[in-house]
Amino acid sequence: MLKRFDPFAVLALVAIPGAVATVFFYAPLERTMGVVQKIFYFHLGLAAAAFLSFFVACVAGVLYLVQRQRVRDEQCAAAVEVGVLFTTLVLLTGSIWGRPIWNTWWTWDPRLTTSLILWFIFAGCLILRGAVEQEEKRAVFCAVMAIVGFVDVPVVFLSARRWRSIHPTVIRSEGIALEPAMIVTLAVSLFAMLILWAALFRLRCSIQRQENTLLDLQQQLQR
Amino acid sequence: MERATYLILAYMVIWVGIAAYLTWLSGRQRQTARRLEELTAQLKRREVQS
Repeated sequence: MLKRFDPFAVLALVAIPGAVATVFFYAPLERTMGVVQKIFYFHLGLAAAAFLSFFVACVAGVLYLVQRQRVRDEQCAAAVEVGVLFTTLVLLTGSIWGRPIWNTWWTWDPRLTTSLILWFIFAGCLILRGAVEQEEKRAVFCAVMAIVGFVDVPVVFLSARRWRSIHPTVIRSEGIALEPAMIVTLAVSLFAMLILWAALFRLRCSIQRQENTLLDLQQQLQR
Repeated sequence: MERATYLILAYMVIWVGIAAYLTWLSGRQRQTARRLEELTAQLKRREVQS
């Protein structure tokens, strides 16, 4: 299914096992949280990839509204879909981490609440895409929602800093609050997640392109 | 639950989630390929008829 020589897919197949090995065999054990802290490396990687996805969706949305090219809509749709998947995984892994650390699966903390809002905005965008049949209308709706939805990304990022939050902040203005071996592990898992995102995004774009080509052919045949 | 159980659960959620998405994409791609084959056959039939 994956393109045979897609460089990102090949790189992801190497980077992900490498990142998992780094997390389990290289990263030191955190003193207070213990092994459960190891969730954080992929949780943060997934969050960064989700933010990148929504940024790409926003840029593709702006470009679609300006250029009206189908390829921009394909990119916007692919970025939204992969972004929603990654945000779902961020919310789930965060919840699993929160249960032993905060003694609850969920709390209405600013970071968690704004992340959930982000998920709802982009999941709504996906539902809207499925509901509108007219191609141009669907693309415009999706582009506008991706642009408006992206406003929530900096809000999610700054929420734990600006408001009273119990969510840990690792990346601060003073630097990264981790010991060197943990920073290396974080960098490796971040790299692996971004590569995985790129591979999934490219794959999703190519499928969307194939589906659009098929639709064109069907319309030509019906004429 | 032991803390290690949460760690295993979190990693399972990540990889099962991504595998499920890839499976769904694979299904979509297979469906597109099948429809494309049908369409090609339909086009060939039209050409023969005309």
